[in-house]
Amino acid sequence: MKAIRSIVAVLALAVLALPHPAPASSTLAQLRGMQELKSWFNTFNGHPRLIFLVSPT
Amino acid sequence: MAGARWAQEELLAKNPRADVRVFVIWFRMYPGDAESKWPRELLTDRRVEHRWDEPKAAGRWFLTNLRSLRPSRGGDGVFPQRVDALWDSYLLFDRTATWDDTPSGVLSWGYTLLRTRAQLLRDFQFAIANR
Repeated sequence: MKAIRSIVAVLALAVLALPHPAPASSTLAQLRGMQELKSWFNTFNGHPRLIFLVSPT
Repeated sequence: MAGARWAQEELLAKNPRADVRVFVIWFRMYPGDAESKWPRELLTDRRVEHRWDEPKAAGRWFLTNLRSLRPSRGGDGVFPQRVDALWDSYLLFDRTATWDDTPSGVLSWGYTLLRTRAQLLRDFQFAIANR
């Protein structure tokens, strides 16, 4: 029984350690112009950055 | 939207520890496109931010300025035709990129997402590995 509890605890910790998706947001924020994009871009200097331009087609 | 789904599955889900940051700008290109049709189940990764761009400011800006960005890892240079905004596209930047008047550090860009996904995948792997 003790061994099963240990296994369950290890599995639970492993699941918690996995990267989780963010909860899907219910609203889509408006882009506050190119200044907001530029600000986001410069905030994450030091990271690779990827911009997608897409339509909900 | 197939491109966004592909990006979630092939770029982000398969590289959960990559320190990339992603900005997704949604806007209207076809009649019938609407903010209410935003697929909130796509690109839900914590590294991703979404915005709605009603005036297509970002797409217009990139279409106007794309030729001056000079991607260091090339690209086929295919532009969307007879449209007023760059769309169904990606732009990938390296770690050192900064944005003053225009952004520096463009690794590559592509139109359409699905047509250029092989290049995006290659350049994404290069970008996240290059520390």
